[in-house]
Amino acid sequence: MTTRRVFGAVLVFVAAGLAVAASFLNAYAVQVTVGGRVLRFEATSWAVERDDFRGALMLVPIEFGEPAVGAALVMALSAVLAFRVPAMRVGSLLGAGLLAGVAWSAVGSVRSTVTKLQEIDSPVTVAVEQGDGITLLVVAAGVAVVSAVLHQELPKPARTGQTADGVVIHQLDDEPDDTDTPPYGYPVVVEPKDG
Amino acid sequence: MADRRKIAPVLLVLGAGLAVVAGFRTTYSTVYRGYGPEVTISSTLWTTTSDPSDGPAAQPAQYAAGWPVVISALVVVAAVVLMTRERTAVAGRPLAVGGAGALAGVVFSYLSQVWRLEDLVQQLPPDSGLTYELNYLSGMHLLVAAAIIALAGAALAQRGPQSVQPREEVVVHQLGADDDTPPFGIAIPDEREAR
Repeated sequence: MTTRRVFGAVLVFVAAGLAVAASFLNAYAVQVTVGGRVLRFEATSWAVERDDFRGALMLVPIEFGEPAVGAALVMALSAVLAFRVPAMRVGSLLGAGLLAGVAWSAVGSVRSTVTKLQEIDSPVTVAVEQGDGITLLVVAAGVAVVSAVLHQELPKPARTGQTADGVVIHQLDDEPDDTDTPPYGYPVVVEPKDG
Repeated sequence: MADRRKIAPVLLVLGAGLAVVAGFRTTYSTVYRGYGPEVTISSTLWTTTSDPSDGPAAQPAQYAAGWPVVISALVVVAAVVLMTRERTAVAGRPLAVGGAGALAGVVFSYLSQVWRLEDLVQQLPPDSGLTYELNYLSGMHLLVAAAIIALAGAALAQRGPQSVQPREEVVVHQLGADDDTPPFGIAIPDEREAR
């Protein structure tokens, strides 16, 4: 575990947390002003928070809560398990990919809602705004991708150069003590011949 | 091992191809009865068509996920191309996981939005004489299958535990019999002390 990978693992958790938080924030809002009165529709990814239109506009929440939480779970689990089983690191990439796909779908849904509502011929202006939830989801997906890459084991081209040197010293003891033979042995004591 | 290496790219390409094909097939349709003539609205990932139609032949889909699916499929194919050469395979294998994850994320998002629509359809009052029916069609089945196949391919593309093993550098053989010489030799009894 290098510092980079530990940093990556921590960022994976951050991204997972952001993704879950994003699903509870406002995904989008629709606002209509009629004669000084403001009618507003707000929805998170789970439920409608406020609907002054009482369902007349047939607006539904953009459903990304379950996929986002699923992706966050995959990321968090793989980050935890990767401390034990290094091969699980690839799971954080899977989670990041999932989250990126979910975020993209969510953004696409908001866009299509905006165009759909703009097509409605109405005497009043209908304003659709993208909520903090979608923005945060996109941020979470970005952080997830960066952290997943940091979390991976990158190839080390320098290693082949090291082994080519020829001499490798293996030290078995963690803490060498005085009883060990020194790496290059003891000098042979040569007795003088004219003794 | 050789089989596994060959199966993985095949699965990945198959999943990507299926996903793109599935996008042009009908994923789900809603049937409305009770308004006079029966109305069937069918959706692909790109367009929505209504039968009988009362306007333009095809409108943009309510949940447009065409481009996200195509781009994720392209990422998966790019990963397969990278995996064909040993030098670039290091980048290809993680990219395969990310791409397959993104594809699965988009499909999961799409599916959960249609689930939400199904919930909404079922919540309508049953005594109004109107009936709604939501059918999942071949496009949806293909999409889910494509996502699962791509994920399986990405999992198989990863390095197995066999190729990780050479990392163990130091091998200590210990025979463990009683007549072994202890690591620091056998102590010579000091005869002067025995007297």
